[in-house]
Amino acid sequence: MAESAWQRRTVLAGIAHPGRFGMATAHPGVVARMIEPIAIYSISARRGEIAETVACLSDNLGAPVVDGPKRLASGGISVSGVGPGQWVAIGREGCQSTIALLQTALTGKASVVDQTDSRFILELSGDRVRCALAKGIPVDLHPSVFGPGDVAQTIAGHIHVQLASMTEHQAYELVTSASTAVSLWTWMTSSAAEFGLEVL
Amino acid sequence: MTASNTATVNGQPFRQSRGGHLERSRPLSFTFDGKNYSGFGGDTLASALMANGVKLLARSFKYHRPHGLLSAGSEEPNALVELRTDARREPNTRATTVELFEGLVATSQNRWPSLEFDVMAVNGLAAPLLGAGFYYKTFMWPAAFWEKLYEPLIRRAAGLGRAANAGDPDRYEKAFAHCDVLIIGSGPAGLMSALAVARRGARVILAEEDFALGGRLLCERQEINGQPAADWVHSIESELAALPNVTIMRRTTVFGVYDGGTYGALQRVNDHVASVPEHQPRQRAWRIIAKRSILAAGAIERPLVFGNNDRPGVMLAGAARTYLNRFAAMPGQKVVIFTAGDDGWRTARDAAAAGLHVEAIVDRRPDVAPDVTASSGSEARVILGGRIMNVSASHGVRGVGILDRNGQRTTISCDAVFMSGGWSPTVNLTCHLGGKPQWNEAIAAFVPGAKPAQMIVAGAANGTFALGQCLRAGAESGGAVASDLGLAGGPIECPKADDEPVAVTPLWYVKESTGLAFVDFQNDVTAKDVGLAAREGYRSVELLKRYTTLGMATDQGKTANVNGLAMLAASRNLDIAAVGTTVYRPPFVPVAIGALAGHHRGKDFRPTRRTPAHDWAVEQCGVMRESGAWLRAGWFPKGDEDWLAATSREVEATRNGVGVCDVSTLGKIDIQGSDAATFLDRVYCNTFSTLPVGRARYGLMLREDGMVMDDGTTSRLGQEHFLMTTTTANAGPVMQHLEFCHQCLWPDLDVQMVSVSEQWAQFSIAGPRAQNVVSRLVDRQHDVSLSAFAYLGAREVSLAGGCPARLFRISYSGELAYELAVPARYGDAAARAIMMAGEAFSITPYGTEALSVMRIEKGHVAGNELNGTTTARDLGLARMMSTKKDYIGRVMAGRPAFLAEDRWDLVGIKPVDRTARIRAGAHFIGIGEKPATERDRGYVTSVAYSPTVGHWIGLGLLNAGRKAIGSRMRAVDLLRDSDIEVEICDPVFVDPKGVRLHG
Repeated sequence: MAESAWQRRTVLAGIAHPGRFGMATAHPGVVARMIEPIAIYSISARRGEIAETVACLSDNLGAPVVDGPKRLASGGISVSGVGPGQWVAIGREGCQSTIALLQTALTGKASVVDQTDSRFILELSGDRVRCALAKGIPVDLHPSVFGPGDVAQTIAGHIHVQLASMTEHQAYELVTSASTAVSLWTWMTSSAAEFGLEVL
Repeated sequence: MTASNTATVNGQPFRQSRGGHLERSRPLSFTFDGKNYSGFGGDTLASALMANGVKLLARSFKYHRPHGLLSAGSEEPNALVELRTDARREPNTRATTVELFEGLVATSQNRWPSLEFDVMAVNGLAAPLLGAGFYYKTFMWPAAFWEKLYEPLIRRAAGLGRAANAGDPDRYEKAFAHCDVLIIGSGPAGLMSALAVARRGARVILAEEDFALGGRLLCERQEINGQPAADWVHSIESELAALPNVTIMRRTTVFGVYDGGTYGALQRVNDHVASVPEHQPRQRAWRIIAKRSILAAGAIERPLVFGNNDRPGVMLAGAARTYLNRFAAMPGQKVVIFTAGDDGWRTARDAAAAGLHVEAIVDRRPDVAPDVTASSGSEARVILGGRIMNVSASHGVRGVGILDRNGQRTTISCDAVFMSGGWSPTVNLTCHLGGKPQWNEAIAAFVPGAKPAQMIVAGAANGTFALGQCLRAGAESGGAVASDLGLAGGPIECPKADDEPVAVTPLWYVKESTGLAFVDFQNDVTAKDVGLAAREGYRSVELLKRYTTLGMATDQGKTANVNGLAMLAASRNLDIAAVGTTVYRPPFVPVAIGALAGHHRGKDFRPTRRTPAHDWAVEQCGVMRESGAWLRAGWFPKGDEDWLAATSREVEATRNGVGVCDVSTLGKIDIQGSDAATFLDRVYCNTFSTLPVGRARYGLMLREDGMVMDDGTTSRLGQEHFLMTTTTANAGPVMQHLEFCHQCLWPDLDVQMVSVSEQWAQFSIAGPRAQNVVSRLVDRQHDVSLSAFAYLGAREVSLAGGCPARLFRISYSGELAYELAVPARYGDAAARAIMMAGEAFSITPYGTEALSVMRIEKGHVAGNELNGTTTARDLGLARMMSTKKDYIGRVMAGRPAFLAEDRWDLVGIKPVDRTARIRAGAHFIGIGEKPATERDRGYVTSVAYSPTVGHWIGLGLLNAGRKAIGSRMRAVDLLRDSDIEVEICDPVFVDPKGVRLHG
């Protein structure tokens, strides 16, 4: 799409700032990174096309996407299963061409809806990240239960989140509605403060 | 001081110089009622006060009798104090559970002017008048006096501490924890079961109410594997702490059991420090989800019921051992033991060993095993088959009157009485899901009955009191749970310990008592009260509780209930098992409301949602108000305008020029697929398959029962692509409904839907000059002239040289209007651009109030009318209900009652006196009729002051309303004392022909 002259505005403009917050610990127990994707798409398989959609997603990502609550990331694109025959694809900087190809490839197999502006994405990591998340997320985050690549539709501090355990050690992706970003941020900073928080 | 090892230790006259589990190197100073004292690390407030010789701690609830310590745990009914000061003041804190810290400030409560001299103690003299049910008997007449006189008087005289009078400055948290096995309690059974499951690799949470692990092992002079029990505790604690699969939660009380293996627990994270460290919570409420639980919560000792058994210095025998052995504090010097079982003899032995003078051991049993009597280790006088009738005391014990088995009365002077009525297993958590405990005659106690699924009970909580048995029970329970979870490994070796004698023959009440004999210490319930309640017909244990207050308040009768219901059973000549217990409900101990709220207080009470143009609205001085979870501008005041002035100005500016309103909160659902049109035809009562691409149509959705569910416009963006909008309030429910319809009713349809509410920021641009504004906004190549882009058009455009946007020519205000949608990240920029494009036309931002006024002026229905009780016919929308197709709600909407002629219709109303204000919620009553339910003809749903017509107007639902147009009714609101004569009119007040829509 052509770019407009208008100023883009991120949902936490004026609210979230980089730096160290909370307890002055030697190492931050929780590290927060706000992700600004270049594209987010809701992908819903058309009637009878789930297998085709899975195959198409897998081909384009070069990795095996499944029809289930799993997140797969490859080449700057992640695909998370959010319901039967439904996925959310998130593309990061540098994956423009792959995203465009994927969209074309899915034509006729799945409905693809632009959601680029609808979500707020937060990546949390650090030694104490599970302790901080436990203050509002009811899912058992122990790696033996919720391991790398697992996805859950759950809540964080009463806010709906799509939660994924990333492949990196003790790192989680929280995807929530853009409108609730401020409330999620308030909850997260409050929950992580005692462990020392670094905002990147 | 008689004891050789006792001297004034650090100014604490009743502290032993050695022994106990104290950090003597860490002296702590604190105050009680303004007086300075000192204690040690490892003390509770109770033990430190005892070491300082403070025996009088509180005044009782009703009679203001002097009270000291009864127990040493969370069951304490007596020693309730106010902890801390000012905003942090916490009333009714049990001194026995308060971990001492430097600078602690505690105050006694429920006394005036002082603890030693309490004027209200005169109530004690009136005890014969203040018996069970006295409220109901004494203050019945005259009825009007209750609220104004009696209740305030009683509240001042009775009641306990004072709540803080300012907001709690500390933070509280809630958190979730998950484990394979939750172990509740860390006494011998708890520690052994933890070891047994942890060594086999289970994820374990060990929750201990105390600040130290060990339970009774810290309080007894027992040995395990030939070493002091406390040393064994430390070795097990070290092993558990080193295991990565074990979480030890100290200062954590599991207070409730809930469905699905969920347990509520309160962790007192920072109650043991003077001020909470920055960024940390004071307390944390845990929701622990466990596959299995092992309840090893121990047992609670029962008092004996005899005259003046509530005097300071009379305490539970096991608690006396706790103070002596754990805290090296001396609960007395010359003591008498009164026991119903072997346990009292252990106290005699430990008291003697600590250097106390045991004056007498009174055992209610005529025959006691010789090994028990031999174990007392003291020269005390032994009175078998005897009982204490009375304690003589003022503030402290002076002596006891004893009746021996031959009827001889003796008086023995003493300064403390240690009583043991037997132990009650702490079965509470086994009962929270409806289980009832079972009476076990052999141990004279209730033991767990039907337990929550996946919970097993071990040790004293299961009625197994002796140490060796507890250790074995813990090991076996842990092993069984581990095997049940499929964990590899075998049983663990059980350490060696003796099984001490634990026989008991209960004595529920000393009939020969003189003076008041208390059953429930916290609520001043005496043996006589229980008897009186039974005689007056309160024969059920639940009625006994309500009538006498036995077992109420902060301790919930932990020490009182069994004695009380045993006495009830005796008076009814029933077995205790037949009387049963009251219902055990969570929480096991009081839990501060702040802990249950956690993060969610103040502005964080619930999450809020902000639209993309939130900051713009704030800059425009928008008064942001909650609209569901959303924050929306209600109005944009200028200068000192009030809401009505601002709203009226916004309406007039829009109707005469142009206004802009942020409508991003409307629900938006993207619907695609080859069957999308068919799907819409089924969920809407009107037809969408005929809608051309590039057009929008108003749609009405019914529920299955024929009532209106929601309305909104849906646009056809492509042959197989629609965009539905919903009301703000129903965005979620409609999405849910559509998904249900697709997944459960018509899975065969090729339709895909997803909410795009958050993707688009949307603005309504309305008014005669709206087209001028829009044409300046969109990029030049798009022809948005009135002829090229007609009413109900829907198209894609671009703005600002490339920003993709959707433009809809739809109107809620009744004016020529557009809705412009842009990707959310440009919402803020779009709002500013609209303002700039509209500057030449004095564009005015308007809020939800003006939005509402304009829709009422147009007779458009909204949430007040779409309230789940109205049909399309009621709302004048029957013409929208297609007769050519089937749709959800069609059949049920045709029920005869929905078509009855006298059913209500949507009407407009105007006050006859045009200056009068109508009230929403007022009911329609005929002229000259007395307001009454049977003459109710309907009600006013929405009202507004209409600047366009110059007076208040309203919409309402009136029986046979359409026929009544032109007539007069009254709108009567008895709650707000408003009775207005109104004209019934057509619900459309402005531009009934809809001319303005077309510009």
